[in-house]
Amino acid sequence: MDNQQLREKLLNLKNEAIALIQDAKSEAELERLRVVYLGRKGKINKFVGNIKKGDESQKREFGTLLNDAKIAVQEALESKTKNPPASSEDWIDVTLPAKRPPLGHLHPVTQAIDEITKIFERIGFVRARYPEVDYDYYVFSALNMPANHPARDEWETFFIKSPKHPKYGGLVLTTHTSNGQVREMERVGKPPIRMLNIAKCYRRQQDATHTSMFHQFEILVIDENITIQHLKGTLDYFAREFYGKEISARLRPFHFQFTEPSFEVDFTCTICQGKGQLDTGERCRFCKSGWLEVGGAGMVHPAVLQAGGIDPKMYTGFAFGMGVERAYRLKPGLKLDDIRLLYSNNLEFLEQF
Amino acid sequence: MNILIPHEWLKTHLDTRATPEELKDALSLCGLSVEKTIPAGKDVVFDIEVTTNRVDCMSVRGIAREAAAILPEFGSSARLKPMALTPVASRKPLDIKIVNDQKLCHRILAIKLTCVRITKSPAWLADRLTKVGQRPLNNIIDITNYVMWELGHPIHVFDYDRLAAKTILVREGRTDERLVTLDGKEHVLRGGEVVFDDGTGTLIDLPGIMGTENTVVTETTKNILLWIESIDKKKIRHASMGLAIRSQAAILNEKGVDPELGKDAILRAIELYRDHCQATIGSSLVDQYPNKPRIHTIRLPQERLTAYMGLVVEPTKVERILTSLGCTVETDKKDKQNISYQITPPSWRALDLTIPEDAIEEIARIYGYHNLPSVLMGGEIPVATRPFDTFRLERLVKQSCADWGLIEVYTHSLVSETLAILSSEPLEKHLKVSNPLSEDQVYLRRSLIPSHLEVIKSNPTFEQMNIFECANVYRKTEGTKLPKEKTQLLFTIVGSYPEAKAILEPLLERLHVEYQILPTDGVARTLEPLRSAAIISNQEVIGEIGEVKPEILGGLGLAPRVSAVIIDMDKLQKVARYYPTYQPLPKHPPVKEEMTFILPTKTYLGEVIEEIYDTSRYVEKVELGEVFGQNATFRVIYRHPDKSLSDEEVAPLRRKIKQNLEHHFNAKLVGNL
Repeated sequence: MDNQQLREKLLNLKNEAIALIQDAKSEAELERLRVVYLGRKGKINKFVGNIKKGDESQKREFGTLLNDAKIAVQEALESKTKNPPASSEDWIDVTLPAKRPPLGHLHPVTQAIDEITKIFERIGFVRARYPEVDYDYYVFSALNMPANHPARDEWETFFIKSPKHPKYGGLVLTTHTSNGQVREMERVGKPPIRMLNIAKCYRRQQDATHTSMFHQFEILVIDENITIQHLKGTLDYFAREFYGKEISARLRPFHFQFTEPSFEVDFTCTICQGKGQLDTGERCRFCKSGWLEVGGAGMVHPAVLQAGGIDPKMYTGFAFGMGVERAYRLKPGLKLDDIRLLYSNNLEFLEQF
Repeated sequence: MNILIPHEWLKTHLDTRATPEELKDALSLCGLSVEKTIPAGKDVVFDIEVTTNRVDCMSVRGIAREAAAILPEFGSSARLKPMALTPVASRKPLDIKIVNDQKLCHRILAIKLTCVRITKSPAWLADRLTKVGQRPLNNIIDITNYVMWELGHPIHVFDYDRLAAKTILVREGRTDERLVTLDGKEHVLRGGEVVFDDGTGTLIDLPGIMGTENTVVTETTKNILLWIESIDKKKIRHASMGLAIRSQAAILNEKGVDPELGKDAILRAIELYRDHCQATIGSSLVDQYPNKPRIHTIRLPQERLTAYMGLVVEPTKVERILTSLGCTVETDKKDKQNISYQITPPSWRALDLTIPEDAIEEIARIYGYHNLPSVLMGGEIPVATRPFDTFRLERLVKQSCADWGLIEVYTHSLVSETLAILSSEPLEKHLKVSNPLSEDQVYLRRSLIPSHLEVIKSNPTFEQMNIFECANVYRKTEGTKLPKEKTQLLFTIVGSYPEAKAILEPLLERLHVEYQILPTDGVARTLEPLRSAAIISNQEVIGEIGEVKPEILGGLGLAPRVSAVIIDMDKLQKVARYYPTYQPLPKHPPVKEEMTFILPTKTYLGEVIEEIYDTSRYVEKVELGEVFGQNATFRVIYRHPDKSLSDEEVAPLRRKIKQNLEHHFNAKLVGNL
């Protein structure tokens, strides 16, 4: 026989063995097959007799092939032995609690951040990270809020004991992710900018809907020809992706020092689907006439673009910021009414997620 | 800031047929957010959020003006009713000497009213005040509050007869000067506040913020000096914040109340004092208004408006919207392609409408944001840089930890003094909050471990306590540099060292990290020196693993053994990989065998295993089998890449292992080779 024929013969032998093993119906049959193929006088060992004596090249080639065949047959036997064929009469208790690997949990805030990130990455946003303890300059002054401006009162700020930087001022815990706006402009230099900034923020307040540490996500878009319509489009896209196709966004006038025009952003109520009342006819207590207030937005103020070294005559842009916890809390069916639970680190609570 | 506006009061200034519900919806969509409507008998009260730039809307008339501009866009006719106020005819000079400082005070209006009768306010007036949350006191006081609420300008009355020195001198307060406000509280000035002095050095008012006890009206007041001033808004802010007096007057004045409004306010007040306190006019109306503020004109090119709105708004519509808000508009149509608008805002919007974008906002909001299309932007997508690559690593690390049964926690970045001390870093090396909310949240933490111990403590009934977190620790830096924020992974396990290691190793392997875990003395201050190790990769310590020191556990009253793994995420980032270098799959069968050695006590088995690996490149894998007393069994797997190893070929390797272990570890092989 030439090499080609020998190879075929060996292949057939191997396949035949594996097929019989697969079909075996009992452990005794498996043992018999083991002897037939792998035994000392088994078919595979006998196959060696086919190799011409003294043909070193044939011997080398078939040494490896034989070995592979043996391993394959051995593995087929082992896997069949581990899962022996079940007889149709064997009864098992299908309700028996199974032994299972421990189930860990990602924190709901992490899950929300992941989902938000994926949604914005799909339309070209790049996630960024900026300091949590930052200079007054980036948190306020560069955002068109000079020292002592009354607008600063709206941010209940934690101040850090530290010497003042001659140019950037003292240190504060970031009250919003907007400290990333001018920092991102400085980093990128020239638009386009599509930034997604998600970070821990801190404010001096604590109640059922506020925790002194929380997370915010913020998007910043700067490019030529960016209009209010694009902000609306982006918000509608996010609302739909995050909550479902019935949910959309609306803008209402507001005021922030760092955007002009500024908006308050509402989403269709995720609980009553914007109807303002529940199926039972009761008024929806979750929203105001079918709308939920979710965050702040606006067209980037020319003074902020200038602070970031970007020419407001050439570029426009928008920004939108919202609490991650708030975004997550509005998921339909979640029914989480006290945001503080998220930071209670009660493991029985976290195990539910 | 919010303001309450009763519908019935609003209608005295606004002529419209719109229902309260229609008013609420239209205002909310295009003007100010009506947060709720509160039923009040037959009337309804709007609770309206007014943004800090719109102090002109902090009054009934302000809201009426805003509604009159908005309602027509919703198909309801609306008109702001004119106010017919009677001018003061008296020419009798006011016998009070007023010495102003123009830098501090931009306008002063004053008039003497005599023979006032103090009674309760008329029912309608008291009722309106009650609806807006102001407690009626007597007619004299109530009228000042009423006028402020109706027109938006704070107003003050002095008891004329208590101004004994007949002088009002406007000056800055000096450090440590004292005054007692009308609520009986004594305040020590910081300096720089605007105060009124009676010429003798006695302070007789904290203008624009709150009256002083020594000059306000009392139950026996006969004659009053009705007074309005426009103090510089920054000065108001300075004084109000510095002295912590947040009166309604201060909240309005610090945002720059329109001085033009003063005249209407004082005339309206005079009218009410005449009608309801039987007051007679005792002097002419003093009006010191030396420098009327200049109102700047804004030039808005149509093109700029289009750039923001994404569509063309007809010039006639632009003009109509701006005019309805009180602006005067001149449209420059000389160049058909480049129409532009010269916009002069009304006095009450002079501080708020200053740049073209401000005018764009006015046009766009009245046009209605809800009338704009919603489209996603096209344009170039920024892909050139990936500067923040750690997100992917964090994601994988977190998912892996959760996959292996750990629960993720989020503990607070701010910790108590107790937890800060338990980090084993000196307290003074922590960043400290200067205005903490509570004692639990004072220091920015330098270690995550104490926070996790607290979680363990607060979940006493929980059985399997394996938790993890990826968060920052904060290190103070010298001078005015930003603090260092380092992201760490911490996982904490109630259990001994090997249980923590059992999770650490697969994590590092999933990230294709080449690492060693080596004993070192006291790598981490929080871990037991003899029961901890350094995690080393590429000659750098990337983390620590070990059992937490009992004294730290004791600090929180914890008894069980707790192990922790701390990894520096930036350092891990440098050595982690998302895919391996592929090794060709073995073609030849391995030889497996077990060898048992007797080893001296305190031998590091990890080092023994390393030694076996170093014996030959044909040692493919070394696993630790059973360990019993001093005996340890090693499972050694030999493999040659190009051939099947025979027993004769393995024999010398085996001998070498025996020799090496004898030599380096004083180990004795159990049995014979």
